[in-house]
Parts: sequence; C-alpha cells; structure tokens
Amino acid sequence: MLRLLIRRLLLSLATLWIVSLVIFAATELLPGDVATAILGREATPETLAKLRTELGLDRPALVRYGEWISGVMQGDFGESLARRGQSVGALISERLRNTLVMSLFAALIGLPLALLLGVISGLTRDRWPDLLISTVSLVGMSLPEFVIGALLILTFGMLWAIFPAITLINPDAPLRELLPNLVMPVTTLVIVMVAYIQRMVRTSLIDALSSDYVQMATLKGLPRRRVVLAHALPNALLPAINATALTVAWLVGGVVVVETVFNYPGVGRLLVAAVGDRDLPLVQALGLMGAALYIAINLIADLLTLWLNPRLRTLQS
Amino acid sequence: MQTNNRLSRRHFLQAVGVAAGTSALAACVPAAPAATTANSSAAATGTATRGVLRMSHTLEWNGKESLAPMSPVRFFPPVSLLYNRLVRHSSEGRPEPDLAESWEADETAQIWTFNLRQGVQFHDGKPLTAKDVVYTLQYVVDPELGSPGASVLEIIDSTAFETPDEYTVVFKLKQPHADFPLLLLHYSCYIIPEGSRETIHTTGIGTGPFKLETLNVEGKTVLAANDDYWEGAPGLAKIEVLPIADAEARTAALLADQIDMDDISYSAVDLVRRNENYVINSIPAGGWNVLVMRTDTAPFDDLRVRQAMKLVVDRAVMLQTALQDFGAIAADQPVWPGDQYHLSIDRRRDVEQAKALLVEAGYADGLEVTLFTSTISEGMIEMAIAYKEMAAEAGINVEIKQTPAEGYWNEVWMTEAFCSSSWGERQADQVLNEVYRSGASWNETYWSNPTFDQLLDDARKELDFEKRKALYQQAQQLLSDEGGAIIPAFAYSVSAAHKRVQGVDMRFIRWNQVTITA
Repeated sequence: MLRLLIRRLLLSLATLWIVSLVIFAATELLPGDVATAILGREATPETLAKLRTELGLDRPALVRYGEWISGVMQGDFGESLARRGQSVGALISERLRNTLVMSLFAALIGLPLALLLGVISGLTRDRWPDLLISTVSLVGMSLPEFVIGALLILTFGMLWAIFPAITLINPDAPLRELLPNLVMPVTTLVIVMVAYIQRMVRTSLIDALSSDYVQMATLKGLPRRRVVLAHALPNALLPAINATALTVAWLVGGVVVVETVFNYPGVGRLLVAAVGDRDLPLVQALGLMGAALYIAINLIADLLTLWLNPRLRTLQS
Repeated sequence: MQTNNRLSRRHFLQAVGVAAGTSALAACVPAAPAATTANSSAAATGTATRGVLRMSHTLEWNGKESLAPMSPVRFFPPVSLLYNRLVRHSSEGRPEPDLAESWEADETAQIWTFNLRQGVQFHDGKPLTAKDVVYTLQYVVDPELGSPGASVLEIIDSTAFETPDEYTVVFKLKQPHADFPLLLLHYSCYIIPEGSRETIHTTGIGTGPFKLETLNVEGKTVLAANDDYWEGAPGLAKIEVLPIADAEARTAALLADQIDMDDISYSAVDLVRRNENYVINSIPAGGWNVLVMRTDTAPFDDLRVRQAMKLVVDRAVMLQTALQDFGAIAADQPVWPGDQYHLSIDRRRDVEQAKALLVEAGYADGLEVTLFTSTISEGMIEMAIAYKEMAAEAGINVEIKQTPAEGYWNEVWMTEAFCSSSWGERQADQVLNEVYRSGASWNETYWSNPTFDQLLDDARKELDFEKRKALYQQAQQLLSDEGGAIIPAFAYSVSAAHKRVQGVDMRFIRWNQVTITA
C-alpha cells in the first residue's frame, strides 16, 4: 500500500511537469504575447521590442522555461508579467479563498444531495420518484453552466431580487459579506454536479440490486433495509467514487465559467484575465494548481476505492 | 481592443455644456451658470440630500488600471471625473473653455497663447498655475511613458514652453496648426499637478468635480464630491465605480439595480427596454467599423476595383443589420456628421456600375477576395456577413475568415489585403492625419496621395475657418472617391440609466450636474 502510494506520488510529479510543458508551449503558440496584449494597436516595432526586452521576452523560450521551473522548485512562482511588481503567489492567494469557499460549499451540499437522490431513484427505479429525479437531472446535465447561471440571475436576481444578481464586493471582503453572493454561484455548481453523480449512483445501484448476491440475500429472507444498506450500497458506491472524483475535479474548470457569469472575484476570473494578458507566469501557476488539484482528487479517490474494496487491495499487494 | 468604440465615447464623457461666456465663468465661484440652475438645485439644497451614483468599469486592463490620465492603461471612467483639460468638447464640435479661459494664435498659427482660469484649486488645495500645465504636457510626450497622447502632441515643441506669468502658457509648434486647441481635447491631456508623475497613478489629484476617496480597481472605487469645484459643487455626494468585465454581467447588474447606469450593447437594448424603470439613450458618436482594402496590394491597387467594392454597399441596410439603426450613414470617409468639418456625401448602391467597373478592371468573370474579421467590436461580424451578401450580387465572391480577437491588431490588421477594423471617434484633422496620410503609422489602407496630404497641410496653415473647412472637405471627398476604406456607417453608443438618474442623457455629460433621487 505504501509502495503504491509513493509510486503514485512520483507519477503525479511527472504528470505535473508534463502539464507545465504543455501550458508553456500552448501559451507560446497562442497568437500574440504579453507585449502585444499590453500595447494592442498602439504597438510599433520599436515599442514592442523595448517592452519585450524589459520583460525578458526576447530570450529563447527554453531559457525562460528553465528559469521559471527552477524558481518553482524553490517555491517561487515569479512575478506577473502584465502586472509588474506583483508576485504571482500574492495575486493568487488573494483570490484563492473566494474560490475555495465557493467550491467547498458546492461540494458539501452537492455530494450528499447527489448520493441521496441517486439512491432514491435507484431504489424506485422507473416509478415516479425516479422519473422525476432523473428527468430533472437530465435537464440539469444538458444545460451549460452559463445558461443555468443566467436563468438564476433572471429569476432570483431580477424578477424577485432575493440575492445579488452579480457579485460586486471587494475581493478581500469579509466572509460575512461574501455569503449572500455565494448562493447563486453555488446553486449553479450544485445543479450540474448533482445531475452527473445522481445518474452514476442510480445506475450502479440498479446493477447491484440485480446481482446474484443481492438476490441471494433477499431469498435468505433478510429485510429489504439490510439488503440495501449492507449488501447493495457498498458495492454500488465503489464505481460512484471515481465518478464523483471526476465531477469534483470538473468543479475546477466549472468555476471559471461560473465566476465570469456572476462576476465573482476568484481564481477562475483571474485565469481568464491572465490568458487575455498572455501573462505566462500567472497562467502557468494557475494551470499547475488546477492540475495538482485534479491529480490529488483522483489519487484520493483511487485510495478510497482500494480501501473500500478488499478484492482490489489483495490484488495489489 | 473591443473597447475601441467605448473609448471613443468615453473620452467624450468629460463635462461640457452650453458655450457660456468666458467672462461669466471667469468669476469661478462655486455658483452655477444661469442656464443650469434647474439641474444644480440639488447641489444648492445642501449635502444631506445628495445621492450616490453607482457605475461600472470594464476592467479593461485587468487590474493594471492607473489614475494617471496620460497612461496607456488609464482607469476609465474615474479619470474623466477627477481631472479637467484646458479645453473641452462642445456640442458644436469646437473646443470650449475648461481650465483655459481663452486662447489665441499668432498670424502663422504656430505660436499659441492660452490664458488659464484663475482661482482653480487641485484636490489637495494647491492652486492651478501655468507650471502644472507645462509639466503635464511634457509628461504626456515623454517617450518613457508611452502615452497614446504622445503622437497627437508631437507637434508641440516641448522644449520651448513659455510661462510669462502664472496664468499664461505659450506653446510653440513645430508646424503651423490652425486647430491646435482641438488636439488638447485628447483624452490624455488632463492636467495633473506639477511634480506628481510618481504619485498621480494612485492619488488622482486633479481639478475635477470629484476627488478620490478609495481606489480599488478590482473592488469598489469611491469618488467624493469636490465641493470647491470651480463650476459649482456636484449634485451627487459620491460616485462608486465597480468592476464588471463581462458585458452580460453588466446588463444583469443594471437590471437588478446593482448599478444605476451603463453603456449597453445593441443586443441588450430590447431586454432593457422592457423594463420601464430604465431610460435608454442613443448618444450620437463618431466611431466606426470599416472594411479595409490595402491600396498597395492587388486587386485593391486598382482604383476601379475599390470603387466597385464600395458601390455594392447598401448603407441603410448595413446600418440596420450591423448596428440595429443606432448610428448614422457614412460615405467611406471617417469625419462624422457631428464634426464641424463634416462633408455630407450621398453614396447610393449601384450594382450595375460596380459590375461595369469590374469588367473594365479585367474581372469580367468575377472577383475572389478574402475578408479577415474578428469580434473586436460590436457589429463587425454582422457587417462582414452583410457585405458578403451584397457583394455577391455584383459577382464579387467574399470569403470570410474569422480570426481570434487576441493578436488581431498585430497579426491581421495592416497585414492582410482585406480586413475589418474599428475606430473610436476622432476629430477631422486627427483622423485624416493619423489614419490616411501617407506613411502614417496607422495608415491601414496604405493610401498614399500627395494631393490629399497637401490639402491637410494647407488646412492646418489656414486661419480662416471657412477656407479651412473647404480644404478639409476636399480631402474628405478625395478619400471617399478614391481611398481604400469602406465605411458604411458611424456607430452611436447606447446607454441606459435608471430613471432616478438625471443629467446623463447627453453626449457630453457634465458630471457636476448629474443628480440621483433616492
């Protein structure tokens, strides 16, 4: 088990390194660079050259990448190119709280809700509770986040102005001020997340319920409650764990859209701005952060699966 | 750079009003001129009743915004509330007194003397003097800063300012320019205090109707009334400026009553119109989207081809499709109807003549062109599509290539032979020189016509207004007939405000007269 963990961690590091290469190459390949982004139409060959020299962009890409990666090894993500004088670390940490609070709420509400709805619909297969839940989640799945967001704004921001339509507070505002602004973004994330996980749980529960061991347990005269809780559910949840992990990791990208729609001051919007600015150090750091989170969540899910499933555990060791 | 249109209007949002006699304003006590009594009554009733106006900014520079008005990343709209220029826009298209009370040129139009308003104070209490003006303009042209105003003010000999007394500035120009005061209308020419170049980007100390209370570009920026404003205390207690980058989020914030006013996109007009609490104002402005033909590149180096390309355009339809009728018809020249030198030309669609010209030019079997376009400005894609349809009838096959907005200015514009472009409103002399003079760095059509250049030179030297107007109009006619720009329409800007906001329905908002009822 420990050996496995170490191997996975090393693999994760390699993945992160590859991700950093891909992000670097992608940003290099995009049309324009930070100098053209800053100067826009005002750019002349002279001003471009001057700015590129100032920013060190005139040096070969490999040299710049080397410098950056050696900084990262020492925990220094460097300075933003577009907002000179501001460190990437400070820029991100300012916004990270807001995004974390939002994702955390979404996960804390969304995961239990999704499991509950999944179990209900699995148990009432093809009867009205299942039909209702499954239909609603199909709708939730097929609507993109920005549509759900816009509908929420229209309904609860304008028609009945219960919650702020978009977020208009200082990025470092106290949590108390942040809370009312969280309701609609979190709801948007929850709707999409619940839809996916609910369907996954439903399917695997139905599978488990029709399996031989559940039939056996039922034939042996065990009460339905016990059959479901002790026999069907633990097996049904195993595949759902990985689906959940993927969905939570999706949160990382989903917040970019949701933050833009709701004008929410988090890392998602920072990323959009950084890409627009061609601010390589900031894009790199945010990209790596996202990748690291993705890897971590999947690692945790795998370990969880191993731990819950004795068959896999013995196989591995 | 999608903001080009926005900028155009925004740099005109500077306060302006009826051309009040300079002598009346010279008293410069905080008493409103007679014509404006109704609007400033709120101000007169005392500070207790004054409201707070909430507006948005587009976070155009992603947090790099600077309060230095001459900075390439200036923070709009606060800069237009914090500072004044020497002159300001009037509805007649001519400059009117702002910080300068009067001005005159010598007979060569090369030496200009500006007399400053006396008793004007900066927000920190220091009086405005000629030294501040010289300091500001020298800073604008400083190459280290890279100000967008530098090229406009290039004509000033920045080593030869004279200040005979505290309230007089004498400019010496490198060449004659009969409309020199127009150049000082540029949005980078707001006056800052002497010696403030290191601090102005965060202090915002100017002479304007509002002063800085809190600066938080990515949060809430608050401006408070400057009760010592030379033109009278503002009718608002405060203005809050909030960052909303996404256009749809801005409209949502407006309709959810989180902000009181905003520029809105053409596509949002119907949505806002359904809500009776909001007043929509279509504000005449002179920005434009253009299809650019490089006159130095085949097939557009042939005048007949250019003329055929222009003849296929149905301008009224274009105005309707691309701008939803928020604009005015144009005739392939960039001086808009609100400009004092505008020449009105009637350009009708004539497909037959276009075909005939193409046959003459050797394209009897039709012409194939590729149009590069992007989403850099509202209505641009619509315009390209409409043009494709119109051109098809004359046997011109337009292939549209949409490219990313990122890098468009550097990789497509001024490179490809046929592409979209977009400009903010500019006064006649500026636009004709900046965009169409031979060798100008923004000469997107690569047009080079000695007669045209000569007309511009002559106009600058001509001190008689009518003669000057005639020269500028000849230049417009020439450009319209022979140039490489297809300009079907000028785009107006559309703004919406809650009906409790008063005084924002005009082209040049006088911010000290804006009020809001609770």
